[in-house]
Amino acid sequence: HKTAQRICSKFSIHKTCRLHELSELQIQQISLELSNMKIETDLKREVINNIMHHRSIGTYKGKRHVMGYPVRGQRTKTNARTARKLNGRWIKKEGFSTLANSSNGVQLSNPTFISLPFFAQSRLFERLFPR
Amino acid sequence: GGMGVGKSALLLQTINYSLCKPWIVIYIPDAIKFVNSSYPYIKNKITNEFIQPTLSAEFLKQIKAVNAKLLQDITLTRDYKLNKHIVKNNSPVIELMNIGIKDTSCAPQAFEIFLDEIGKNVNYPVLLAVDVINAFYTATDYTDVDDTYLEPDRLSLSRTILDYFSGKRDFTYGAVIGALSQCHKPYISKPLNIALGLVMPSPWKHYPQNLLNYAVGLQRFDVPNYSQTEAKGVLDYYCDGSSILQ
Repeated sequence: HKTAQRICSKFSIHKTCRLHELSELQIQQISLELSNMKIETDLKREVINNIMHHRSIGTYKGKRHVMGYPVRGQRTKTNARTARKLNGRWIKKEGFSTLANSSNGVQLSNPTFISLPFFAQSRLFERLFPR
Repeated sequence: GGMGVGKSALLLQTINYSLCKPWIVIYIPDAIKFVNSSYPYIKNKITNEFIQPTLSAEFLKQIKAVNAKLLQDITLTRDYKLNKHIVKNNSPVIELMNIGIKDTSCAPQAFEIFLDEIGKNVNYPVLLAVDVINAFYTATDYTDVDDTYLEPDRLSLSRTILDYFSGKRDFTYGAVIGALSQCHKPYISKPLNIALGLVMPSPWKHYPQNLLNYAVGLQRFDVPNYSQTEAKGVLDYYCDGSSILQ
């Protein structure tokens, strides 16, 4: 991620610069640049909207987010810890109220996924024997 | 020479010999700090170069501290105007340096004028000694406005020193000497090694022509490994100084 480096290069700020060494003009230029970018809540909203969009049109990516599995084709036999921790947290937060309006996608009114047996979805083995 | 063979130590001995002569000595102990993005830099929109005001001021201060006695005898050959300051003809060079040290915005200009005036003087020869000279022949850590790494000839201070090494600028009486260093891998310069004949250039690779141009005309001086008598002398010195237990 090189956004910070790109902004510093644009205003000729060297890599070991401290905040108190910045001039007023440089601080104003940085604030102007940041106000023109999409950051903080706007960016977060855009990310959530993108995930919800996948969910609502019923793509593979949306389903992976719902289940909390890796989305980008990584292995799930072992090592899917980060995906389990981080994927799908927006979907769980928003609840499933958006699904009432979704067009022909998979209609999930409850967290279980139809083709898997119940005990696989609840991940009983991992709860009883955590690593 | 190889690592640890004594290139920096030999350079220090040269500098000490020149100081005793007396010569005016301009010594850069580590050229890496000029190019590793640790000092502020400002773009000069007219010349498209970057100046380093605080580094220039600090460098002038160091030169003044070493050579104060000799510099008092050298006077300027004409009037100079630096931003709001004016330095008159026949005033000592030290006055110019003081302006550069106090006002960092005119330090780069003051440094260029200082080198010009020093080069013209015939009373004392000038020695420009740079350790880790290969840092001036590699891409710097500073970035341009469009986030590309700057070449050393885009920084005014580095370009000035490279001009002296390539022969574009000269001292009337003086010498320019540099020591390579292999300690910092990112700053090992292929163009410089090719120009000095240390490495054969590959016909399939492209080397930056501007850096090769700055390395033309450099004379190579090899520092050989320690001979047996030299090694014995060094160990005797350490034993006498009780650094090593006998």
